[in-house]
Amino acid sequence: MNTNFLFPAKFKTFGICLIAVPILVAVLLKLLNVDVTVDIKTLVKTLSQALICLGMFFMIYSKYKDDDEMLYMIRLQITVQSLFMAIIYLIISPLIDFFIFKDEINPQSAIKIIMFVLIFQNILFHYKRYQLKKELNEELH
Amino acid sequence: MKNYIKIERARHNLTQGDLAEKVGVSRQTINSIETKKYIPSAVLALKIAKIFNIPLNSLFELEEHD
Repeated sequence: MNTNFLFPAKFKTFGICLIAVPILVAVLLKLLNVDVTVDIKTLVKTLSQALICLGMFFMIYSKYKDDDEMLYMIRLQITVQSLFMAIIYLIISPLIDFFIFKDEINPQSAIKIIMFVLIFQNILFHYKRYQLKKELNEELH
Repeated sequence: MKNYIKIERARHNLTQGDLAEKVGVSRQTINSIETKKYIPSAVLALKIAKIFNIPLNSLFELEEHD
């Protein structure tokens, strides 16, 4: 019985596309020097952040060709570690803003924290996969 | 947790890849179990023991710190 839920492998490519679209839109807007209102800018920024988050979520929680219980366990460990890192980020970030940048303390937006968690998870997950492959290659040689 | 997978694999003339294919996991997982970096689930441990046709406690052994 397999109770480990993951998205199908196709979602990984879909996730990459979801990340690429807002980046392309941002580059195009910058290159074409399109003049947009503040409301449109805020809407585009919010939508872009949401799409990037969704893309990163699909990238980490979709099936890989070498997926099995160990990789699933690694995902779970990384999820716990990233939650811990998010709490540290939540505490430290306003302090850095206040003491180093002499800025006023603002409440952290949810999307910023979720993005931080997903970036951390993606980097760590791919690094661990790379490490496993490296160890296997070293074992063979 | 100590395990004798490498020894049993050699006895049965199986490569890590062969064993991985038989139990439905990646070669990295078998390698990580052999090098004690990953403790398999009960289901996977039973599958491996079944391949070698030996009881589970002959394949895995608890160590002092476990």
